[in-house]
Amino acid sequence: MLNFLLEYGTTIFHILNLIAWYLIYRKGRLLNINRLTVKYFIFFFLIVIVWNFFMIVSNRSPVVYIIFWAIFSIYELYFVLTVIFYLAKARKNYAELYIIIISILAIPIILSALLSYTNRSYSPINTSDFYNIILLMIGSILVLKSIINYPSFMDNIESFFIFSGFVLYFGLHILASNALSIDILKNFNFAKYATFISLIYWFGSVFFIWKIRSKHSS
Amino acid sequence: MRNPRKVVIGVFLVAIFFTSISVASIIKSSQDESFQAFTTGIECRAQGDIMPEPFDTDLVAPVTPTEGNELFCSLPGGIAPRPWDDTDDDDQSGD
Repeated sequence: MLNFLLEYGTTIFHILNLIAWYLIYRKGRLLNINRLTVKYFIFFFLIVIVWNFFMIVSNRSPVVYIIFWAIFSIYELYFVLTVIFYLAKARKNYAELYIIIISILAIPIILSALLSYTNRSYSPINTSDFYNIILLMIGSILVLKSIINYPSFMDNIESFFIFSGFVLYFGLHILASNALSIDILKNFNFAKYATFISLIYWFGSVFFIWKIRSKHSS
Repeated sequence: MRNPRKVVIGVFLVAIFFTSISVASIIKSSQDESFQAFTTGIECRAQGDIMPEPFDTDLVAPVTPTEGNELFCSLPGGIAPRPWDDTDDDDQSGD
């Protein structure tokens, strides 16, 4: 039982988070950027759940892992970049540049996925993932700063919890899984615990949101 | 974010910078043929819930809990205590 939880705990928590955040999306009165963020966040969980399903079905195939890792990494960058563009009110006026930036950011992900596959080594994707996480961490901090400075903070309370969770998630992943961390921490299982801690935070924040929302509406 | 133009240009420059260093590091890491590069290449440390199988099954780098790991304390705390075995040795040497 304990082995099962250690192995599939994060998978189960992803499903629980998907259900909880879907309920927020359906029941809550979300507006503009907040609605968009929650919608993208639900897709974030959905991709991971599909990824995990295929990993189990394919018996942990490295090829399946690399394909989904690339999709997931590009989606993360797309998510954070889209929110930054919306917050800066630049999504419509700079549409071409927005597409160019996403394409530029996708280059190292696709390159590392191809090199990992051809060289039969995880080294390229480990390297690419490290730089992606730093970039996503900077992006999440920027979004969080903008949300805090927003005139109507209460309208974006869900986005605040999502991106504060992302700061925690990317911060712990930098510590847990990559080159700058102490040698002993460079392991997939430590990165999994980092994900688990963030998932607990996101799941717990659902109750805070519900409490804050219900207090404000009464 | 007051000035959209500044934000977009800033994001664009950061994207160019990170893509450049990322691509350079990826190519360098994939060309490295040292033993260390080989062993670290086997271990996947990227994001994900379910760890993929190593490409080369002859040498499995990821550390998985074994019976020996039970000797180590993994609970919260600033300074980890010594493994029990060491304490036993000290007790015996004290006698």
